[in-house]
Amino acid sequence: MNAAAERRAACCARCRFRRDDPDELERRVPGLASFGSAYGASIGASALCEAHDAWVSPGDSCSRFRAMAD
Amino acid sequence: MSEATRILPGQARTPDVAVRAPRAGLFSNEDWWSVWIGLLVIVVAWALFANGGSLKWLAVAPAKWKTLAEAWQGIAAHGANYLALFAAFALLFGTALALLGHSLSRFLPSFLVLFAASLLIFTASAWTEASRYNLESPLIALALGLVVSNVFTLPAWFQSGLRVEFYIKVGIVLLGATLPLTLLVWAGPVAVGQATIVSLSTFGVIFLAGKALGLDKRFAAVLGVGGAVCGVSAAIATGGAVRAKREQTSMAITLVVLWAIVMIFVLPFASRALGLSTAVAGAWIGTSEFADAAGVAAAQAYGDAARNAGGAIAGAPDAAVQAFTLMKVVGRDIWIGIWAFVLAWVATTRWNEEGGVQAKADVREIWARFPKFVIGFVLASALVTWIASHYSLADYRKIVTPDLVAPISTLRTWAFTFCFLSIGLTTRLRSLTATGWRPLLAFSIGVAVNIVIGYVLSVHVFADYWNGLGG
Repeated sequence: MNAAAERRAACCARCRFRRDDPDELERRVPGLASFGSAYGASIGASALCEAHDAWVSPGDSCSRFRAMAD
Repeated sequence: MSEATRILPGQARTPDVAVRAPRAGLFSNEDWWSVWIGLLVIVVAWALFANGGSLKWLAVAPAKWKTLAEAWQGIAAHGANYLALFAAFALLFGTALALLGHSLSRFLPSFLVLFAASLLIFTASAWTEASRYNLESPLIALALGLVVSNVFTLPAWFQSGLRVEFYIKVGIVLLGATLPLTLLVWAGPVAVGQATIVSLSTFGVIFLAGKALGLDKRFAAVLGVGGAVCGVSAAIATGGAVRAKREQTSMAITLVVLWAIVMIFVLPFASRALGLSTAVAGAWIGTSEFADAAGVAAAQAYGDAARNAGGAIAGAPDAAVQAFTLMKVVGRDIWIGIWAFVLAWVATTRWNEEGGVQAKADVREIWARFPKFVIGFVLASALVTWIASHYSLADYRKIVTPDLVAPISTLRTWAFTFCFLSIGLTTRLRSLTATGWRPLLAFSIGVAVNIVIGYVLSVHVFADYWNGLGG
C-alpha cells in the first residue's frame, strides 16, 4: 500500500476508538434525546472518539489511530 | 446539577439496538422516516377523500366535556376508534424505529403507555373549564412528564417510545398540509430575513461573550449555534463540525434544554401579557425558542389559549404554530448545514492543534446535516395546495377542510402530544451535565439579546406580515 493509501486507511472511519452507535451516543450525551436525537440528520457522519472524548468525522485522523479488530 | 453520565469503554451494546441502519439513504434516519410517514398519511387521507370517504373515523379526539362521566362516556363510545388509532401509530412508528435499529419488543409497550397518557392529557385539555386554569395540553404534558421522570426512576425499556424529535418531525410534516404553499412562498423570505438577523446577532453575542469569559473557541461556537439556530440538533451538528469535546456539547445541551423548558412556560404567558396576536407571538417564539419541539409546545399552548379566550387574543389559533414553524424551520433550521460547514472550515483551518485530531471541512456536510423533514413539510403543503386548487374557497371550507384537512390536523395534534409528553419524560435534571457559571452566563446573555431583538422584529418591524398569516 503506498503512503497516500496508508494515510487514508489510518482514519477515524477505521479506528477502534470510534463510537457511532446512535443508542450509545444518546446515553453518553445527557439531554441529547430530550430535544434532539442521534438518529436524525443533523448528526451527519459524526461520531465520538473514545481516545479524545471528542466528536470526529470519518475522514479525520490522529497519531492515536488503532485499527479495528478483524 | 449533577455529574456527566459516563459510559465505560467497551461497555456492551444494550439489547435495545439490534441492527443499526447505515447513516446514508432515504430510510437512514428519523428525518426521512418522518417525511415518508407524514406523506403516507396525507396520501391515504386524500385517497379516502377522493372516493367519498374520510380519515375522520381514525383521526379521533376527545370532545369537550363538563363532567367526568361525560369524559369517560366520550372515550368509551369511541373505544374502537382509539384502538385503531393506536394500532395505526404503532405500525407506522414501530416500522420506522425498528428499521432504524430500535427494539420493537421495547418500543410497543412503551408507546402503549405513551398513547394512553396522551389520551388522558388530550381529554383533560378538552374540559370546558381547562382554559380558565391555563390547562393547555402542551403544558400539561410537559409538566406531567417532568414530574414523573424527576420523581420516579423510569425503567430503561420505557425510553424506547420517547422519541421527541421523531414525533415533532412527523407532526411538522403533517402541519405542512394546513399551510398553503402560496403562504409559504410569501412569508418564507420574511421568516428567513428576520431569523437571519436574530441568528447572526445571537451567535455573535454568545460566541464573543464566551471567548471573553475564557471559554474554548470550539465550545463558544457550539454554545453560539445552539442558542442561535436550532438548539440540541445545532449543538450536535456544530460539535461534530468543529470536533468539540463530548463534555462541551453536553454542557451546551444542558443549557439549551433548561432554557427551552423555561421558554415553553414564559413565552406564552409573556405574549398574553403583552397582548400579542397569535401569529406575532408565533414568530417571536420562532426566534426565541431553541428547539422545534419546545417551540411547537409554546406556540400551540398560545394557540389553544387563543381558541378558548373568546376573542381576547387576536388572530386564528393555528396561526401561532404556523408562524412559529415558518420562522423556526424555514428561517433557522434549514441553514444548519451551512453553519456547520462554515464553522468546520474555520475550526479546521484556524483552530487545529498540534497533536490533536487532523480534520478537513467537507462541503457535503451542508446536505448531510440538512433537516430532511423540511422537504416533507414543503411537499405536504404543495400536495394539499394542489388538491385545494380544484375547489372554490367556499367549497374548500365546507368540504375539504372538515373531511381532508381537519383529520390530518388531529393526527398532527396527537404527534405533537406524544412529543410534549416525551420531552418531560426524557428530561431528568439530575443527569444533565454541570456547566459552571461562565457557559451559563455567556448563553444567558445571548438569550436576553435574542428575546429583545426577536420581540422588536416580530412586534414592531414585521408584525403586518405575520398578522397577514392569521387571516
